[in-house]
Formats: sequence, C-alpha cells, structure tokens
Amino acid sequence: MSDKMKKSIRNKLMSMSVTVAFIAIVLLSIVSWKGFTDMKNSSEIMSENLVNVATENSQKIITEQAIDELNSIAKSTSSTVDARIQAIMDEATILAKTIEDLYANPDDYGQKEIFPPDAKNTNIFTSQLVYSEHTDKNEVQDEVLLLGNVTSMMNNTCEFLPGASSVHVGTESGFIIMSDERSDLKIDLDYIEYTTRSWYTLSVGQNSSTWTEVFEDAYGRGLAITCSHPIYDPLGELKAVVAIGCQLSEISSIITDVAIGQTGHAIVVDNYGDVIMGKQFLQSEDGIVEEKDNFFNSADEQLLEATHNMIEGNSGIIMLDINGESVFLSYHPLASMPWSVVTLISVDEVLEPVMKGKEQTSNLAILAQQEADKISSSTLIAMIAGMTASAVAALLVGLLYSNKLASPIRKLEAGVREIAKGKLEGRLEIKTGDEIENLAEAFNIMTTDLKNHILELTNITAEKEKIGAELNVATQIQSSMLPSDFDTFKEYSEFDIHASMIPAKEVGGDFYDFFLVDDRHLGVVIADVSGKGVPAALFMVIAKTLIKNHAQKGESPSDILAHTNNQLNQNNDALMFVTAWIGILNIDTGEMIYSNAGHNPPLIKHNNGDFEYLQCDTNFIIAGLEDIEYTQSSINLKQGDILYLYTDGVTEATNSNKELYSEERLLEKMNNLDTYSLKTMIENIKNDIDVFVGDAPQHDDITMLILRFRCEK
Amino acid sequence: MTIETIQNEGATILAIAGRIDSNTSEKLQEVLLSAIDVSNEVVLDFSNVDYISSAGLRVLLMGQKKSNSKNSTMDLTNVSEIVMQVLETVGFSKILSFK
Repeated sequence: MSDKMKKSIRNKLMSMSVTVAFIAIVLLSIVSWKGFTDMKNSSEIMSENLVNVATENSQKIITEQAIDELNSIAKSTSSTVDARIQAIMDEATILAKTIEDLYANPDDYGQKEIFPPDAKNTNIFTSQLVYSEHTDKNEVQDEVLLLGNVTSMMNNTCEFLPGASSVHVGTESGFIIMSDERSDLKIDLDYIEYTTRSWYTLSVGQNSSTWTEVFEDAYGRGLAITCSHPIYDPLGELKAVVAIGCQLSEISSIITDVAIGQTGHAIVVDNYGDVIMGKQFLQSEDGIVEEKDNFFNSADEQLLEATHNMIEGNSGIIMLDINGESVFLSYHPLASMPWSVVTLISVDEVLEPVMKGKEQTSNLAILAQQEADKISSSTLIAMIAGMTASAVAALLVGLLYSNKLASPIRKLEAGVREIAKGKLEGRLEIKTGDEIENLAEAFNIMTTDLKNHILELTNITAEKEKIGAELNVATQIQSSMLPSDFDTFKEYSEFDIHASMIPAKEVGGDFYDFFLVDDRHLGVVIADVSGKGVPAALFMVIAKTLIKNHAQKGESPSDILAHTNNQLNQNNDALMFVTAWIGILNIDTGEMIYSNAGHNPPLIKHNNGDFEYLQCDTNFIIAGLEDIEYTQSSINLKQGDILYLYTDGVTEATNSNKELYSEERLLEKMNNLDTYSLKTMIENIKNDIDVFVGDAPQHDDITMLILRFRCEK
Repeated sequence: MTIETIQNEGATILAIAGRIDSNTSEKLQEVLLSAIDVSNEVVLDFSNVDYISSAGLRVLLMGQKKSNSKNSTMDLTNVSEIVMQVLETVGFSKILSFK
C-alpha cells in the first residue's frame, strides 16, 4: 500500500472511528469492571453482614429468652420453696395453738402417757420424753400427761409434712417431747438441756414462727434448720416452745430437681452468702457434710455485688465466669426467709443454637457467594464477548462508512483532475446529500464560470487585438503622413534636414513637416496638438494639412497661422488646440521668416558659435480663439547655421524624481554634440533623454527637427 | 492636485494646489466650468500651482471661452514665474486676465 493510500480520508476515518470505539470500549470496560467488582465486594460484605446481623439478632433473642427463663425459674422455684417453708411455719403455728389450748383448758382433755426413747421404736415416728437434768419428774407429771394429747399430731406432722424430720415441744417446766423415727439415737440419753438451744431461745418473747440459722444436724444428717413457735398460757406466761426440725436436704429436692437445659441448675443462698441448697450443696456418700460454698469467698466483683443485692432482698441477673466458664446467674429472694434462689446456666449452652444458626447461615452465605461468583464469572465472559463483538462491529461499521464517505471524494478528485486538464464540459454527478455534494455542485458552478470567463476573455482579447491592430495601422498612417524621406531634397545642396517623432502612445499629437513652397523657399513646421491618442492624431492631420495648404499658397507664416486658426476653430467642440512654429526659408539668401503660435522657441547655432534660443514673438496658440493676429520675425542664416526645432516632449521629459529635462539641460547637451550628422545629433539627444528619464513613464510625444543651412549653390 | 472652493463677496475663488496635467485637468475642468455656471466672478488662485501642461491650458481656454460667452469674469491670481513663462510661451497671457 502506498503512502498516499495510507494517508487517505478513508483510512483516517477508519482509524478515527476505530479509535473512538476502542476508547469507548475501554472506558466501558473500566466502568463495568469497577461496577462489577464493587457489586461483588458489596455482596460479600452484605452476606457477611447478614450472617453477623442474623447471629447478633438470634443471639440477642435467644439470650433474652434464656435470661427470661432463668429469671422465671428463679422466681417459680423461690415460690415453691416459699410454699414449702410456709407450710412448715403454718404447721408450727397450728401445733403451738393446739398446745396452748391444752394449757388453757386442761380439763377438756384426758391424760396420755409419753414414754422415754426405746430402741424398738427406731424407724417408727414416735414421741419420746426426755427430762432436763434437775427436773422433778413428779412435779411435772400432770403437765406431761396433758401434753401427751398432742403426740399423735406431732408424729403425723413429722411423718407427713414435707421437709419435716422432727417435731419437738420443749417446756419451761423441764421436759421435752421429741417426735421422730430415730429413737435409736436417744437410748443412752439421760437428760437434755434444750432451753439453751437456739430454736428455744430465739422463740422466747416471740409471737410467731421463728427460724433458726442453718446448722449442722446434731445427728450428722447434714444441714438443718428449725422452725419454732412459742406457747403461752392464758396469762401470757411462756409455757413451752414447739419446733419443727427440717433437714435442708429434704427441701432442697425442690431445688435440685430444677433442671434448666443441660447444665442449668438452681441453688439457694442464705443471708450470709452461704450456698445452702442445690448442687453446690455437697454431701459426701458417708453423710459427712463438706464445707459450704460462700459467695463472699468469690473474687468476682459482680458476684459480690449481686450477693449484697440478694441479702437486701433484690432480684437480678449477671453474667460471670465460674471456673473459666461463662454463666448467666439470676437471683430472686424468698418471701419467707432471708434467702435467695439462684439459677445458673452456661452461656455456651444458651448460645449453642445461635452458634449452630450462625454456622448454618454462614454456610448458606458461602453457598450464595459461590453462586454469585458463578454468575459473575459468566457475566464477565458475556461482558468480554460483548465488548469484543462491539470492537469488531465498530471496525466493520468504520470500514463501511469510511468507504461510503471516501468514494464520492475520490470521484470528486477524479472530476477535478479532469477540470485541471482543461476539460470544462464534464459535470460532477455526486448525490450524497452532504457537504461533498455541495462541494461537487460548487465545482460544477466554478467550471461553468470558468468556461464563460474564458470565452469572455477570448472575445475581449480578440477585440483588443483588433483595436491594437487598428491603432498600429493608425500609427503607420500617421508616420507615413510625416515626411520621412530625408533624401527627397538631395539635389538641394543649400540645406540638410532631419527629423524624428516618437509618439508616447500609439498615435500622437505632435507633428513636424517640411516642404518646398516654391523652388526657392523651404517651409518647416513643428507643432503640438493638445491631447493624445486618436483624437489628437486626427486633429493633427487636419492642422498639418491646413498649414501646408496655406503655406503652398505662398502665404506668410503669420497669415498661415491666422488662417489655419480660424479654420480649426470651426467645429472644434472638443476645444483642442495646437502650438506651432512655422518658418519659411529663402534658400538663396538664407533669410527665414518665422512665426510662433505658442510653441517652444527653437535653438539656433550660428556658424562656429554656441546654440542659443531664438528670440520669437509670443503669439496665441492656434484653434483656441478665432481672429487672432499673429506676428512674424525674420533671421538671416549664414552658411553652417543650424536651427533645432522641438516640442515640449523634449524639455518636459520627466525622471522618477519629477525633474524636468529642461531647456537648460537641452542647451548644454546641444552645445556638446558633434554636429557632423544631423541624424546622429537627433539620436544622441534621444539617447540622452532616455538616460535622463530612466524607468519613469513618458506621457508626451518627443518630436525634433534639425535644419542646416549650407548656402552652396 | 487639490482644489479648495472659497466664496468671497460674490466671487468664487478656486485655490488650486499641485500639478495641472492630463491626469488632473479633468477635475479642474469639472470644478471650473460649474463655478462659472453659478458665479459671475471666478478667481483662480495659482499660488500653489507649480506646473501646467497643455491639457491644463486647454481647461483654462475652455473656462475663458465660457466666461466670455456669458459675460462674466475669470481671473488668474498669484501665478508663479514658471507657470507664467508657460502661459506666455503659448500666448495665453494675451487672452487671460490676471489680478
């Protein structure tokens, strides 16, 4: 492919469209890729967020549920414990009221004997009588028999009241009735000093049921607690104290039965922070109670604060670490005792479903992400395929359009080349409907204009050539009218004559003339018609003819001028005029009579002297006004005298500095000329004028005539 | 060549400056002939005329002829020596009037 083809419009358009398409595709690719990756990233972030939010939400919900459950279990458990405790307290009150009734109305009751502890009653709920050390048995006989009425009730309570393991009634008078199933443990018991026991002392002065502190059972059966109630006679005198002993292990089944999930459980904490019921309430297999847990032994600030809250009877929930495991701990006070039910559950267990859910959600998210990745891969492939297709399409469309655009231009180019070869007849037929069609139309108009112009120019040129030819003919006619055969008067040795007329334009207004008026008289004329060209030339012809006619009639120069003047004034609407100098020379005597009508004075050179201006009377020009009178003068020429006639074309020849050739310069030049040949003199003056004017254009004819008088006959 | 027309107490003064030759004479002809048409006293101020050709002389002749025919006056004033020499050469000094 040549350089020219490489630089064609077709290729430029092609490159342009392909470049534009390429840039568009690249930009589109960048934008699409950016959007694509953004979408992918955001979908990843979104699914991650989704998992996190779902996890957080479910964690929150499940945690709240777990806490609610924990709280409600603590609450319900405390109610259950309360109910059990209240039942014991109510029983203690009923027993006390029953016994008070015995004391108040002994006569209403019979007498019932009570026996000391007997080994055979072991494992049978039996009431056993034991005295204090210094009690007078006889003295209290009636009181013992009276209280015997209540033993069956005490035994029932002991056997059937949940939580109750023993019922005691200790009197002020020094005996105690103990109802339980452990007679075996009291066989060797001689007396008991019960009045110093806490259950007894605490009840003194009271009016209601009172609980002792938790204590270790006297028979090694674990932790125990006793509910006591005072018994007064109608006079308000303390008669006895009834006490229902409880093994906490029996109440704590309520607590230990509490199951919260896998690890959750309940405990009871007393007003000293001791864990008195529950799993932490440990009891070895051989029945020996291990040291109690106490919340105040904990180093955990939260637990310490919570424990204080419990003692103050508040409820609440905390999360804390126990043995490296996070647990929720809920506490709720008992209404009947200054204790709190505490429920605990492992945080891990609570959150297990959340974690499972999170794992499942994550799996789903990963699946979704994988699906999204698949889709994005296929989208990417589709995108690349689409862009490749676009690029190919752009290339094809570019090729098609550049060809479509370039072909009329080629056609135009071919057409213009034809025009350039000069074939102006052809027309460009391009119908693209766009600027190229306009251009082709403009070329057609230009071709037509060019054709017309060339035709016009041809005509004008022909016309001009015709006029030019005619003017040449006129010039030739004019020249031929001026005498040019200077040998005409060869036989006349009396004089030499030479002349020259160089017109400024094709035909001029200057003329010279010389002729014989008669055998002995020579007429010489030099004249200048105002104006130039054909009108001046025509006027000149008339003037020359008239002057010569009048001269040949033998008229004097002044008459010639006067007559010619009047004749020229007729029908001279153009107001042309003529300056003229006429001289008539007597070739025998050398006398010359001359008259000047407004013409430049001639130069005269007398034999061996210098040229000088000939004194002339100044007369008015001819053809200017009618009836002018002209004067004339005469001069006698001697042998060798030279007369030089000229028109103002000589003295007013102008150079580029607007300087005139001038009469002074003419005079000086004439005096430096070799006068041997008149013809050479004229040529030399002409050359000198040419040198003077240089390149400056000349507007006037240059006409000269030289006459030498020889006087040789 | 420039021509300045000045009206002065019934006279029309044409102040001409420059060369009066075949290129400029047509303008002078137009101005001079219309001045003679409207004014009975036309004065040509030649103070600044340094050259006059035969075409210029022809215009002066036309002016003089027209002026004669309507019995008005056409005067030349402040004619320089060089121009006066030309006017004398062609005999115009005899038919023109000077102020």
